[in-house]
Amino acid sequence: MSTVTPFETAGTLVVRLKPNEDLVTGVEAACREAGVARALVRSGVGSLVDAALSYGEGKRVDVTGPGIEILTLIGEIRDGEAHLTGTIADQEANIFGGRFVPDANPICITLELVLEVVA
Amino acid sequence: MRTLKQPGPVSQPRRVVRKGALGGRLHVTLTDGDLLEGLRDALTGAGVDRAGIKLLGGTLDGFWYMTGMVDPTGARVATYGEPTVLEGPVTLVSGDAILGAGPEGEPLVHCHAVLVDGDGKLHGGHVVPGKAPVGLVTAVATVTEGVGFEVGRDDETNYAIFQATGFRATGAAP
Repeated sequence: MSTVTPFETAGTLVVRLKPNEDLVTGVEAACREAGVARALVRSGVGSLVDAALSYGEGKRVDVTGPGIEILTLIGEIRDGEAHLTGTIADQEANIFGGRFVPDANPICITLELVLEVVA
Repeated sequence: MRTLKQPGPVSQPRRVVRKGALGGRLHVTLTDGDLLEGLRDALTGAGVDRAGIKLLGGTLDGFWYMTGMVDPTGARVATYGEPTVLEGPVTLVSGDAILGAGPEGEPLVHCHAVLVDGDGKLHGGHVVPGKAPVGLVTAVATVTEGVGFEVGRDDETNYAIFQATGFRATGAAP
């Protein structure tokens, strides 16, 4: 089965999350505050105190910071829920990838985020 | 979830949200020069000064990057370590960047990227300006109209960093 949904743009959101905000629930809250239920991540640059990424069947990797770099951020906000995947680098420049676990990815210095809002 | 105490006072709100129009999407191809300077010059040459950028991959003839560490001076929660230097050719896997305004209003690109070196090892971090010579890189810029990022003093983190500016989103906290 496949589902194809054409979409129209309804503008953009620029978001800054400040320290100790959670990446996932913070993005959800930012969208809620802007009255946005659907959006696409167009770019995200920032850092995390610690990171937790899920992969496989219920597996999860926890990476200890601080100063973990968010290298790439991909995903969308669907029905108000943020589905975010990406890659990170730890202090030793080890790279990890996966899905960002809600309430487990506190922002270290900042998150700079550009979203395209879906009508 | 562990949180850290920042050096400065906690500022409100904790989420800064600015809603703008879509000023278009631009595809960018770079074939020489420095990655960050090339993105900056290509977009400003097209009349764009605020955008979110997704790097679509490519090749670089070398790459300097930095990763985070605890700030030993305690002046900040985290800082950057010494740069890691990769010899070319380096494969750019992807990256995210923001085009905004620097401290003097000048165009500035902040970029993090993931790469593979000649031995197949993954690398990634904060891209050092002037130290990413382009072989071929493509990117898509999402242009934000009326909103964007501008460097501003941030007492809480003790950094001058990109602040979200422009029109306030309807319904957003003040």
